[in-house]
Amino acid sequence: MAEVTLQEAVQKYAHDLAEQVSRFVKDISELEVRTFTTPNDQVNVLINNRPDLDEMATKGNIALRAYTKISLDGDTTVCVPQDANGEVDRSVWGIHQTMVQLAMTNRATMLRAMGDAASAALSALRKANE
Amino acid sequence: MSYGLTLAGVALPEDRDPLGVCRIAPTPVVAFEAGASAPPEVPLWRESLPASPDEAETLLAEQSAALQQRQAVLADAQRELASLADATAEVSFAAPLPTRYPRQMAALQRDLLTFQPAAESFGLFARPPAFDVHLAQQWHDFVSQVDRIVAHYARVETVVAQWGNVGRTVVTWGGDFHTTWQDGVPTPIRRVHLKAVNVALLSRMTLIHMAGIIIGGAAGLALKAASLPPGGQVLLLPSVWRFVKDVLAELDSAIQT
Repeated sequence: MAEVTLQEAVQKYAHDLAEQVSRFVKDISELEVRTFTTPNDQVNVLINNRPDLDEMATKGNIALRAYTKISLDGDTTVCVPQDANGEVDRSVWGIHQTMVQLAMTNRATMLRAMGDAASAALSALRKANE
Repeated sequence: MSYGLTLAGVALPEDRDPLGVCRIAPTPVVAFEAGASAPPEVPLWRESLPASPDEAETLLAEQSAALQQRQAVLADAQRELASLADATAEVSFAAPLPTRYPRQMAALQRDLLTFQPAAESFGLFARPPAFDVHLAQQWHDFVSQVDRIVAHYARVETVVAQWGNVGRTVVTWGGDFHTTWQDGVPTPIRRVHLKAVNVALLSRMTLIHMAGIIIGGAAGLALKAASLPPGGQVLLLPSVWRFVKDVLAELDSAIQT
């Protein structure tokens, strides 16, 4: 294992982290959470073939049941699921809302963790190049 | 069915999770034709759980607590590395330091000593610098795999006995969540998938944090390793990787005894 290979690995890691943080910063203006349901016979297709969700939804193999988009400027778009009687499907809606909370917490925590890791890596690389 | 969290699509050193929480799925050997390339597999956390929601939640709570314990130990390791870097500003790497991990710290200090020049050697190494090729390879593999975790979407699937795959969540680069549920799964089982997603994301974040602590720790110590050749600070990374890995292993053995 040459020293330069180790340095290259750290360099690539730092570069990817920095890119990821910058992508986060670009994407941070919106957070989107989508909740689908799928019949039992489509579960294996979904797991084994890992198809595109939009394509599956177009074919009717999965159904988009709830949707939330939160924009940094305060705009929020919410699609609430209904059951067969036209009432709010509380079981799907409750789970979806918890997912939205989880997504918001995850975004903040990941941004912090990646920022810390990127700054450690970049500072190590600066020192290595001094 | 064996319950627990498995991480696939990531080939961590020695096929084990340094945090000791996930099983690592063996990387499949792919035969490919000339010119063809194997599609990169997206990291996948798969949680296998018992049918009883109470039992499943207990298992998930244990995993979550285990990850929080590892985070506390990593914070300890980070503090110890910072103390060593501060202490060595005035004293030699050989000076004993108050530490919670004497064995691991002694091994790290032994390595660091080899990066200090002997007084009479006019800048030459006192001993051949410590550079373990095997450790260096492990560190390289670890950081490359954490890099994969950073660069890809995270996929989390929950398999519950008697129900099969109940939920699948894809977390995109920007943090968007796309979740697909199997129809007809009762709410208590769905809640289990939410907790599984939480555990998987905690595991991902802790691995990224661990890489950051090692790189930052090595950078702090590099300032004191005066005799390193230009750009040679990376030589410290394998030693710091071993220190952090051994500190985590100490927690595992304490739990087992």
